[in-house]
Amino acid sequence: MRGKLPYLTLACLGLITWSWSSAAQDGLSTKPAPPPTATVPAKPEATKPAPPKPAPPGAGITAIVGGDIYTVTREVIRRGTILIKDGKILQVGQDVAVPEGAVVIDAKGKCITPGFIAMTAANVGVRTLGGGQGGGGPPGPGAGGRQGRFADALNPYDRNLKYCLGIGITMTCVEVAAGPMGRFGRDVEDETSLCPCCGLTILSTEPITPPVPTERTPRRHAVLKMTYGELDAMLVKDSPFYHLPAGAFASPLNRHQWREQIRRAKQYLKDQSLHEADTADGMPGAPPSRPVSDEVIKLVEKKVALRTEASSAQQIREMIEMAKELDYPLVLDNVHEGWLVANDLAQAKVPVVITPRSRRRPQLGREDDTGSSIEMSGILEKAGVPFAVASLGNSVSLDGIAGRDLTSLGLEAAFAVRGGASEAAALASLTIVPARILGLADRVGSIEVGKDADLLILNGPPLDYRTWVEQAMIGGKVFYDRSEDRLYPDVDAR
Amino acid sequence: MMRFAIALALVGLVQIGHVRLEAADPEAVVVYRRAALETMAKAGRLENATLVIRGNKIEAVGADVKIPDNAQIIDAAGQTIMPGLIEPLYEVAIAGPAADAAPRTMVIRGRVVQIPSLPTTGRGFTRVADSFYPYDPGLKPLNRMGLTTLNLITNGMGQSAMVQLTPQQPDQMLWKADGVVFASVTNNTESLDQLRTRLDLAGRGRTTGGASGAGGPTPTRPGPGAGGGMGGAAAAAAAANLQVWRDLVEGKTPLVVSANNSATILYVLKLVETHKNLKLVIFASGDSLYEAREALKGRPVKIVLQPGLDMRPNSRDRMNVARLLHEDGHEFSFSLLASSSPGPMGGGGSSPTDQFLSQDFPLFPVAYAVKTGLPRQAALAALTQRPASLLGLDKELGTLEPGKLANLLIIDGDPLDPRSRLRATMIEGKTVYAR
Repeated sequence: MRGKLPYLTLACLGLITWSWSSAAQDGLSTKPAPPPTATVPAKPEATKPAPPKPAPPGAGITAIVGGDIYTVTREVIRRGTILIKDGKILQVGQDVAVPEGAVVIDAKGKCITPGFIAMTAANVGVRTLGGGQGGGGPPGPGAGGRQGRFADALNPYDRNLKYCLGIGITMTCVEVAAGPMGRFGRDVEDETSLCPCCGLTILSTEPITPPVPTERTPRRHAVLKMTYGELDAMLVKDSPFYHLPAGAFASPLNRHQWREQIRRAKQYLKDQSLHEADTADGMPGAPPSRPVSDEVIKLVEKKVALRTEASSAQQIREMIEMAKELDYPLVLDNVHEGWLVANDLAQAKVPVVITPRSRRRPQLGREDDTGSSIEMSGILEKAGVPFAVASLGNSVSLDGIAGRDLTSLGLEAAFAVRGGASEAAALASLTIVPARILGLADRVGSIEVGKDADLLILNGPPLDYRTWVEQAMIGGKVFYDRSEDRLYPDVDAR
Repeated sequence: MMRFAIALALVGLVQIGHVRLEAADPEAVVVYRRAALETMAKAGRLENATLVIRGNKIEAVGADVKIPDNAQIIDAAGQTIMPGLIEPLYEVAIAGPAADAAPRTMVIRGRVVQIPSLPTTGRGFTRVADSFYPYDPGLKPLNRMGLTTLNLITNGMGQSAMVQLTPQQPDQMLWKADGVVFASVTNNTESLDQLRTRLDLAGRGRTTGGASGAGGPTPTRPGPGAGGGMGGAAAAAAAANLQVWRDLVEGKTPLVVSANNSATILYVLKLVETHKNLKLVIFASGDSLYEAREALKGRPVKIVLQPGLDMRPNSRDRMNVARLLHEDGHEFSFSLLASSSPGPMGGGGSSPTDQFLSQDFPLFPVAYAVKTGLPRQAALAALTQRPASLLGLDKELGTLEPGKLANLLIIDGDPLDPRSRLRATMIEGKTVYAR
């Protein structure tokens, strides 16, 4: 692995530009994924129409046979079999019998992994108001600001879904801009109120003292499955985090405001439970009014985690301390100096999202114990900190520097291996760790009986830069097939 | 003296032309002999046939038709007669409460008050017939394109009006004031909810017997600015609207949806799933229809699209979406004048048909679709018989059959041949354009 790395970026650049130019010549065709029975290279006896009277025991079952199965949570099963029924994994193992009548996908010599999960994404399947870094298409209105629902703003025909599938991403945590004025802008609506007599909007007068900061508008996310052309299974989860930018905790005033909000939310929950107890005792009173937004209350109830960025060791420690003090779950992004405080992170059981190739400049004169380190992934693994990997850019871009956008996610995990992490940890950083962070570990992230059949059939080991995704299936249905979806059509597999 | 004579002769010529345009005796019989007839009916194309028109209707069509005694006989050898073109979606701009549309800041008694903007998509329900302006100069040149009937819509949501294009008699142009319900939809909550709430309300009314009068729930969700003070007239209008939506849910009238992208098509298909009887018509751009092709397959949805070739999404390959839809078994209609994105007509000027509007041969994109594989009969039907049936006008228009209104085009050759010229446009037996 180490010896090949210098060529890694170059090779990727070459492959991607090559495939791009040839795709442009051929004209990219958008073929909607046909039903799996039609596309899978099934054995001839399996495709025969079954006689109508005795339904074969394997009807409705898809079997992936002969591949090396990277279960992630358990050992790798060499030349194993996966049975899929109703979009879920029915059986996994080496000595699993394929029932008669099942559709068989021959995966001899292939590797099978769970679909990858991208923790940072924009412009994928849903249009953002703000646009993403390295964005592919022009951002447009569509998500509808805070009032709009993701469920109504999805675009299952987004080409970026295919590009994600093409490198193995079957699920993304897509960010949609924060408020009407974007991520860092101030929310106009919060500062206005309505006149009690005429109902018109009143602008506040010029403040004499600095304003008490109001509740920040959190950054909105949605968890989407990349089901190209299908709407129903696409939205998995709305708002999996309470996500605030690092600036929301930057000054003492902001931190005070944050503590105040959490205190109010806790007080509200206390009042609410008292109110419920009173109602149960037959003394119904007025229910307490809600002092903060629902999202904050969810955070205090530990239903969602606070997600924020903490680049320096100082910031990381502060965020850990505050989470301990105020008692809410925490997820940290961009922990450039996380390698310095790995034990603190492990003790506090805080999962992190890292980008191994992302850099932070060390302080002058303190080069040894400040700044980023490529060895962070290894240090985190040794300390027992679960980490997910994010790409440098959060959107699909084909006309920038190759190997930096969302489609370089697998590459980024390979860099985690370079930093000293085991291959198992690197694969987990694309699958089960993000699934746990998103609270979806019961559905996705590993190959286990009962989980969604979101699987990749790869033509080589998952972290090898030469590996291609042959087929990507979501819920047992093939949504990407390298031989049919002409994203990387003419690139020869090894 | 000589000059005077010439002037007199010129006046006379003009007079003759004028008289010819006005000639419309209710019982006058006009017979076109030896013409090629594109009947658009079972008979198909008839060569060397006879067409008999009595008053405003077609009396007989065929190869050996008995010619009435008092008929004016016109030899139309070498000419083709076909039904007039029907435009299913002609979008007109209707001025709304534009003065209040933008957010404004004003000072009242020393206080700065900001008046919020009105949501543009939440304007409610527009009845196009109420704002129809027959003297619109934009309507005049349409006769020379071969259009005889328009279904007028506007942006947003509302009820269309159908127009017979007789600019000489502006007072008679508005033909059917109660047209079909149309809606421009995008894939966001606000837009989809507009349609959802109305359909659900109408659907509920149907199951409970529908005894909701003027005081009942209004189908319009009052938005900011339109909320307070709904008077009696407004409530009555809302009740009338409710009836319109009920007819729609029961399948009496179609719902024409203009979808801005392929995802919206999916949303709309999902949205109407609970309303089994609803007749859905989708208008979308060619590439959107192409992307949503799998979802549209086998669905009883009528489609309106613009003729011509589209670009395959994410590529520069051209494709003939009309042909693909034909192969999928859809009976689509062509809209020559619809703008590809919701908005006032002629706003962008970027739609492919805009480029052909000013030309002498507006059917060029249709001819191109035929050249690239769309069957000729399907193409002609998509301009005449299918839009008529889509709009519920198939008893009166769309084909050359006895009993139908005499809305005709007389062309000196194949209608799709660029060398052909439109010689006359006739509406209800009256010539409205001739050259």
